[in-house]
Formats: sequence, structure tokens, C-alpha cells
Amino acid sequence: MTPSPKPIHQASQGELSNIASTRRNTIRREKLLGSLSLLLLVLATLRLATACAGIARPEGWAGPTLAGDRLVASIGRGEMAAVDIEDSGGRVVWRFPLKGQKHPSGSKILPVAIYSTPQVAAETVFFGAYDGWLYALDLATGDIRWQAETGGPIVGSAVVQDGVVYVGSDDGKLYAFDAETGSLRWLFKSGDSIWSIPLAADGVIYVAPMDKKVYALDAASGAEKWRFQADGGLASTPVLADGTLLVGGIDRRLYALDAASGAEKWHFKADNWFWTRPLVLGDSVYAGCLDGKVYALALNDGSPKWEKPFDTGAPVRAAPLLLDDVLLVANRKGKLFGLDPETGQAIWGPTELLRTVLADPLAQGDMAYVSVQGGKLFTVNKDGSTALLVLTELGG
Amino acid sequence: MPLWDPVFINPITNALIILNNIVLGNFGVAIILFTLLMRLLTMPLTARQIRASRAMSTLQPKIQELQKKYKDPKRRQEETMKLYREAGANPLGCILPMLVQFPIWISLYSALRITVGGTPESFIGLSQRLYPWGYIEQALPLKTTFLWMNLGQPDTTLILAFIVFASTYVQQRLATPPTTDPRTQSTNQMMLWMMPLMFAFFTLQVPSGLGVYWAVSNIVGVIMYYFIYGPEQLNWRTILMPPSAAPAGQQASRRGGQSPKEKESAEEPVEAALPTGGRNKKRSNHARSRGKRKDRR
Repeated sequence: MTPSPKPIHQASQGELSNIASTRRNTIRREKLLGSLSLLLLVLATLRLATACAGIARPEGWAGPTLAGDRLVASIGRGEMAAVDIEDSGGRVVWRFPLKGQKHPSGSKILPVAIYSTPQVAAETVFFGAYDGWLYALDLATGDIRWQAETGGPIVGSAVVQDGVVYVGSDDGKLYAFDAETGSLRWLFKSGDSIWSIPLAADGVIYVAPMDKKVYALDAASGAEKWRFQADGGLASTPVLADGTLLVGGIDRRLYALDAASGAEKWHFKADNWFWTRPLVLGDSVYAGCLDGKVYALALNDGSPKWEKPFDTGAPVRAAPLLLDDVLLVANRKGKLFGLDPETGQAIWGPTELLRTVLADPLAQGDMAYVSVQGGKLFTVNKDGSTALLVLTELGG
Repeated sequence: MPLWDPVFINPITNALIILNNIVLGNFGVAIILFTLLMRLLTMPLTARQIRASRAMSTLQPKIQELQKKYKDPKRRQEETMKLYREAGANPLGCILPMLVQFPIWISLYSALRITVGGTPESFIGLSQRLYPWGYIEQALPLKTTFLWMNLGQPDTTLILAFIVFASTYVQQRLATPPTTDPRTQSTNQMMLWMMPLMFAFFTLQVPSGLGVYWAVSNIVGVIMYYFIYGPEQLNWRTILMPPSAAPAGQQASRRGGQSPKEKESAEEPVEAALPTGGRNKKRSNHARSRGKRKDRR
């Protein structure tokens, strides 16, 4: 007898339906997983690309100012503060803006980048912000005395002289406001953005806009006295010394002009733009450059005074400063150097702050305050030692 | 990467500023001109990519047959690769030209960000990238207004975002190869909407100069498809209808792929089977009548 073959299992209609249903579900699940993975991939790419290609965000580089024992400085993005300086740190007296503070139009004052180093006159702090507003705050309390709007972001600091505040704006206009009331006295329209700080001296306002011209204006009326045509836009703050007006440009030149007529005396060409305010000591001009070098030139003819310029290794935007007999230089990477002004040799340095430095430092005796990007303040001694200024809130 | 900036980003940044001078200081027109030049330079690569993508799509029916025939994944893979070899098609042919263009795209994004950044910080950054030529420095600072936009800021009017969305959709629709695989179809369908949405979202986040670049680049891409595939492809039906799950031969025909005669000669290398403009014209009537029959059904 041969064993009967095992009967083949016949799937019932229900079983077949179950198999088909399971298969459909599996396919659906796989499709869903595939779609979800793709969606996650797209979202990740989206996040990465937005981070890489987003708009450049203005940070601000306002330097500090001293008014008695009070330091006024931008200590965070878009925040101005007055600090009572103590031995090891500082106590914040007030901050601006406060929550709920408003513009005359009723809109809220929001913290925006501040490039404008505050100026103090008649117990009032004046500074412009990237939102285009010029603010006048009470030095003691931080309350708003007045505020005036310009037609574009304010990058250069305001200058106060003889009861008038002068400030340039990205809208290409130079504004003259009454320091007491904030009412507009006059305005001068240039051909392009004004990012530099105007210079007020002897009843004349000198301004260097990006329209490649230097203007000398009558301080009382804003009438043009003369203009000088440069080869490139101008962003550095003019300096006046012995009848010579010094101004640097993005045409890689440092110009020396006759302050009375605007005629060019000489110019010095470097390897990159001049965006720092030059420092004049006796018959020498010290100018930092975005090529990373610091140049020492003769005031009368622009000839180099050092054997070779001092190379800091990174662009120099912050103005050089004299601490007693040491020339303090800071580059964008936060490296500080103490130089011998006579020879250009490093006495010390680099001392690294490990933060970006673009703001002009402030001297107080043989010590300097250096403001770094992000709003922190450091003290630097003439021997190169540094310390972070620790701030505490009032009542803290 | 130390070489990335001097090899890619800096030359593109300087070229953009030189173009800005050539078009009398209109940076928007400079971006458009630059985009056209870049598309012109990469045209051989793009054309190769389109042709490779098309060659792959013509092999779809055979690949499907192989998938049915061989259940063992290893064997299936071997047979598929053999088919590619015999047909002279290369799966990397679609990807390689795109990969080659990536550095240019990424560098252009960076260059645009640097040149139209608009902030004082970005201006200092720009100083480190310019060649020491007076001709370039004279152009600074750049005038970043173009039509209704500030090229350094995102366009908040949504107009540019819409243009980028529409142009990306059309280009994506034309570029998507037909397929009979349901999973690929589902992915394609998702990408068809996801990519335009993604780029429209980008446009609202990034400087509008980049949006202008995307829009112009897409429009040029669509024009290139017009010349490569022929005018039949650029009708509203093709653009607006979702990619269907029609049989591959029919799909290929609808997409300007193979006619039945060409299908017969699919044994020949794919490059040889690729239609010329004349073939496209002959095929179009056949494809149109087939499409009509399908509609009636």
C-alpha cells in the first residue's frame, strides 16, 4: 500500500481575503514610511539651507563712552545701558529699551543693532540705532527725552556740538537736530548712504558718505562750503589735525585734505579698505586697515614712518588707541597688540579675547574698555592683561 | 575648506560686481545676466542629465519585466545592470551632471549673500573677497533695489515666492521621468509639490536676489526642456496633470519618449533610440490620438 498523498490545503475565500488585506496594509505602510522619510529629509534640507543662506543679520559694533563714573555702552544686541563702574565690575543702572516703551507713532521700540557709539552732553545720552531712530536719553534714569526718525538705518555715531546733534543715515542724509528738543534744524542730502561719523570743528561739519565725496558744510545752515571727489565710497570717520583732514575710503586710500579748501595734500594706498578712524599723535598718523595692517605715516606728506607696517593677521576696523606710551591695536579676530608708536614693534601680544572686535575702544588713563560683538566688555591694561567686566543688575 | 572660497565663491562674487558695472549699476539685471551665463556654461551638463533621465525612463518596461521575472534581489540587480550595460544607459548619468553643478549653485548662493547682505558686517566680509581692481571697488556700495524688491532682504509681497513656486513646479513636472513603479510614482508625486513649496518657503527667508536667481534659472530650464523635448511637452495638459500610472510605453510616448516603432528597437542602445526633433514631430500625432483614446475611456 502506498501512502495516500497529503491533501493540498485549499485556502478559503476568507483566508485569501485576509492575505490580500495584509499585503495591501504592508504596501500602504511602506508607502507611508517612504513618504515620511522623504518629508523628514526635505524638512532637514530646508532647515539646513535656511541656516546657510539666510539673510545677514546686523549685530552692531557700538563702542563705550564714559560720563563721570558712569560707562554708557551697548551691552547686548540692541540694548544700551548705563553702568556704574566698580573695582571688579559694573552695576547696571538702567537699560534701554524697556518693555512697553514706544515710538511717538505708538509702535513698540524693539531692540535692534546699535553701531552708534553713544555721545553724552548736557546729562543726555545720544545714539542712533539700526531702526533709523535717534534717541536722546536721560543719563541718570535712561528715560527718553526725545526721539527722532531718519529715513534709514543709522550706522555712524551722532556728534553733539553747540546744542546741535548731527547724525548721518543710510538714507544719504545728514540731519541736524536741536539737542534740547529734537526738532530738525536742517538736513543735507548726499548721494549715498552715510555710515561714517560726522566731524564738527570750528563751525564746519565734515561728512564722508559712500557717494565717494567729502563734504564740508556750514554748521549753522548746512550750506555746502566745498566737496572733494574720491575714487571710492567713504566709510571712515574724518579726523582733523593741524588744518589737515584725514579720511579713509573703500578705494584703499587714506586721503589727507586741506581742511579750508578741500584740496588733496596727499594720499596713501594700502592693500584693502580704510574703515578705521585714524589716530594722530604729533606729526604721525596711525591708521588700521582691513588688510590687517596698521600703518604709521607722516602727517605732512604721508610717507611711511615705520620700517614696515605692523601686520595683525586679520582686518582692523577698531581705531588704534594710545595707552600711556603703548599703541593699542585690536583686529577683527579679537587679537590685541601693544605696539611701540616709534618703531611699530610689538611690545606685547597677541592677547586673545576670542571674540570679534569691531568697535572703537575707549581709553581711561592707562587702561582701555574694549567692546566685543555680543555686547560683552573687557578691560585691557597697558601691559596687555585683560579682564571681563562683570556686570550686575541694580538691586542684584 | 580653504580652497572653496578662492576657487568658487570669490570669482563668482567679483564676476557679479563686474556684471553690475556692465549693466550700469542695476544689480538685479546683473543677477539675471549671471544666471543666464551660468545656465549657458552648464548647458552641456544639463542636456546630458535630461537625456540620461529620459534614457532611464525608456527602460522602465524592461526593468519592470525583470522585477517580475526574478524574485532573487541579487539576480534581479545583476540582470538590471546587464540591461543598463546593453542599452548603454548609466543610472549615474542623471546624478553626476547634477552633482557637478552643485558647487556652482552653492557658491552662487554664498556670493549673493555676501554681495547683497547689506549690513555693515557683511560689507567688511565683502572687502576680504574682492580683487584689488579699481573697476570693482568703484561699484560699491551696490544698489540693491530691483523692481519692487530690496535684493538684500526677503520679498514680503509673496510675488517672488509665487513666481519661484510656479516656475519650480513646471520645471519639476517636465523633469520627472515617467515610471510604472507605484512607489516611485508616489515619491515623484510628493516631490512634484514638495520641491516648489520648499523653494517658495526659501524665497520668503533668504535675500530676494536668490529668489530672482531661482526664478530665472527655472524659466531657462523650462525653455531648455522645450528645445530638447519639443513643443508637444509644453502644453497645459502635460504641465497641470499629475504624472499618471499609465503603462510605461504610453507614459514614455506621452512624455515625448518612445513611439511603438522605437519600442521595437529598444533592444538597440538607448542613446541610438533617443528621438531627434523630427522623430518627436512624427510621434506627436500618434501620442495625441492615444491620449484622446485614453481620455475617452
